Amino acid sequence: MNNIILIDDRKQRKSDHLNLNQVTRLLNCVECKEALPSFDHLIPDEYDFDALNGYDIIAIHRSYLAQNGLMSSFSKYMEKSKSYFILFSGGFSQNVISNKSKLLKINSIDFYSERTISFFEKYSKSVEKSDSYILLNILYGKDWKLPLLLRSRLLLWKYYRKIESTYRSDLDEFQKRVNKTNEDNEKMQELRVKLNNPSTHFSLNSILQTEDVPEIEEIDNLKNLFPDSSISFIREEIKKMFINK
Amino acid sequence: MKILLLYNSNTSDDILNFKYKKIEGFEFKVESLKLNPLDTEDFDTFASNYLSQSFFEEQYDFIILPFSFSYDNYMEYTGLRLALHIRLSIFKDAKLTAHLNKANIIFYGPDSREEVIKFSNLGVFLVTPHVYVPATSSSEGIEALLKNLTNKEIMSDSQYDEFLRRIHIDAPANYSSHHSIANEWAILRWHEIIKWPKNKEPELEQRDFPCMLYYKYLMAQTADRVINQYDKVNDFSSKYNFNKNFALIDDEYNKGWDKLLNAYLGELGAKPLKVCNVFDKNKNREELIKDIEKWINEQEALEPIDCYILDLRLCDEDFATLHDTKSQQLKNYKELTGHKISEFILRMNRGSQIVMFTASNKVWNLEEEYFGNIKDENRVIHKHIAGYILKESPEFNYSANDTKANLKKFKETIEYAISQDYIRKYVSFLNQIPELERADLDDFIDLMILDKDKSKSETLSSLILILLKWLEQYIEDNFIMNAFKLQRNDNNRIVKERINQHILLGKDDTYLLNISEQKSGALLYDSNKWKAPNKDSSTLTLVVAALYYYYEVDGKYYDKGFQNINLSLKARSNCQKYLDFKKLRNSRIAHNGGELKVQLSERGITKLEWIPTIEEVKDFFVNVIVPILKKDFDADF
Repeated sequence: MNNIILIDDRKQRKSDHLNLNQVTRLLNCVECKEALPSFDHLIPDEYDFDALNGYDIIAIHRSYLAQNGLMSSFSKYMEKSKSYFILFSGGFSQNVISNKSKLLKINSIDFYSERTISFFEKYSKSVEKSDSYILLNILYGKDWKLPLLLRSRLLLWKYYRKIESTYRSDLDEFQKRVNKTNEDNEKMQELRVKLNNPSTHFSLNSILQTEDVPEIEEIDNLKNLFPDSSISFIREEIKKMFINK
Repeated sequence: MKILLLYNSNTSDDILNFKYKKIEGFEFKVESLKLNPLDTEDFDTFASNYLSQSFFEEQYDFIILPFSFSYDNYMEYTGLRLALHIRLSIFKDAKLTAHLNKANIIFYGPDSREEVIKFSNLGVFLVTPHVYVPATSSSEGIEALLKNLTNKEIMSDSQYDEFLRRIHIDAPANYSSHHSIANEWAILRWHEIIKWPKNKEPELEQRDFPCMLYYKYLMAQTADRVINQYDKVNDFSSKYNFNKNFALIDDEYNKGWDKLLNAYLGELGAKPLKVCNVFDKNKNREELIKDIEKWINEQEALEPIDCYILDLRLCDEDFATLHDTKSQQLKNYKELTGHKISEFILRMNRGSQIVMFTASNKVWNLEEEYFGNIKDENRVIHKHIAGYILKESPEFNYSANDTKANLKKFKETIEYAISQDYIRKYVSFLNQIPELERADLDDFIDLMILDKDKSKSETLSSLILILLKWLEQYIEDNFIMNAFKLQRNDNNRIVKERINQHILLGKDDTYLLNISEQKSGALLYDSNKWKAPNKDSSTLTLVVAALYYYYEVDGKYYDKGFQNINLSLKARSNCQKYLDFKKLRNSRIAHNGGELKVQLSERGITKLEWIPTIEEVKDFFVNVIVPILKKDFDADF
């Protein structure tokens, strides 16, 4: 079971955005509090955020932290924690995910929504521990893969030239032959093997051989999500989402 | 042509080569943008701070940036948002602003224009003038585009207007009530419109609102909104004495109203502003009202408040739901927390001065529709309010001049409230007097409250009449004048002895004053001298005699509250006031004889034409009537 804590110092805020049934459902799957556990407002500097260890998702209203002078210590806690964090506020103009997809800054209206409640209900009952993209789920629901597709396309576009000189000509040749014929011949096989070789595959493994590619984990994750991460595949996937949206 | 190229880890090396590349006719500046993964601020705050860096002090003709700087969620399209900030921000000076706002924008990235328009609610920006996407998103593509756009000028004014018409920036979702937006906006506008004396500018806490794209969008829509140096107001003079106690009751006080109003009123001479800080968002309306009432009582116990500045909507329950009809909203006004608080303040003292200071966009309805048309006791509340000031809200489209006018109205309303504060003092005083005894004086107060005119010109006659009536009735009820002296004879019996003098007796025959022996001479002034009283003018004589009693007792001066100066003159002066008003009443008021003025003569002085004023009525109340009640009821004034 995954544990979620929600800290909002204003009871009224939930009722402002949710109906009674939604509030009830939220309260049933999330531990709702009006203050941080064991927080003493007289000595805010001494608050130990380790009291939040054990929660998989920690959602806090931003003003609560700001008014209690906790922003700085909260940031430090986020840095070392493995949990996922949601900061919600009526003052956020834009919903933003950062810190390796572990921090979501979201407007209160988007946070207190049916999508969030549905996700929390599912997530709190799930026995699987957090996967990497739960915050995207909260933001985009069933379309949560779309930003990842866009990201992987960006990476491909960004690194395309790095592999251009070595592999581009092979890929172009392969594509040309595929376009011309379905005939399986020796040259095609040779190209295919080369291209399918994990160490030289066009998709993303080739990039591992180059310098300054820090996002190894991310690339692996993306690769797992999109087995054939060619540009054309991504274009097709985006197109599908594009039509559906 | 000058080009600024922005990049981060989303940018390909190919495009980064523009750092070293040379293209004839173009001068490149390449700067990075780093997003802090642990940043807890809104992106707009980051964008505003980013644009304040020194490399944004140059007039770039082209600005090249990616569609998205975001690492974890590409679909945030933060490049798009930053570009809008460039279009809408105010930079170091007007010339730089005009140039950068209208610079050519080029986006790069693997995205197509159609995708971005579909996926981003800011996508329409891509179809506004002078926004370009290269055919191929590579350095070659950008170079080709630049060469095509060589000598391309920045946007014209009409193109900029077209841009403003096409885009739409939503307010941050939770600022949907006018309350928050109007408060933030109004504070900023007033802070900006006031030309603060050196070192007196209040420091408002770092605000997110002016950083917001929405705020910049609002400001850009009307050039008139921009406040220039010559628009600023530095009038801190007033003919009224501002050395008063002001109290602010506003749940948004900590957004900056407390500091702003304290500084502004302070410059006018006010004492430090008392700020109600009992607002707890977790409490319901009833609990909040109790807390505010308690705070008011505490403040009044320390020092009376001369003027309350009160917001109408003080808690979440005060905001109409989406389902309320207009008539429901109007009816619900008497339930508003601010309204309830004003009732409480006026119950304490109906002469209290309240200035309603509200962001409620229905405040005009309050003045015109609700209180004008609906007949209930709340109409009376309206009459007790010194004035309504609307906190400026962006949708009103106020120009700088409008903001100035609003501030001026606020100052004038406060001045009016100060000018009427004497009514509160009168009420405080009269509340110490039993109701039966003060009788008509309550009407005197009510009439002054209802007549909003400072000079009370419409009700002056009535005010004089009421005071005279009360005075004469009170004295007649409590005094008699007699030509007899009561004393005990040798047999210890009380006998009346006729004497050739007049004495003033209290109702219980208490000897008060020997009128005839007064060194000040006769009590009636006629034909340039005082005459001995006679029984034909019994009321007049009685009143004057009583007034003498209040100011001179047995030759000793009644000095409670008076300075020990020539009291006989003072007594005579106060008696004279009564006689003058009496003459006015007899000659003009009673017979409705036209203009309220009368010819008087003063001893040794040429004839004067006297047109009474509210100041003289006030003087009469304070110096003639108040001493009577002070003495008889031991009341404080």
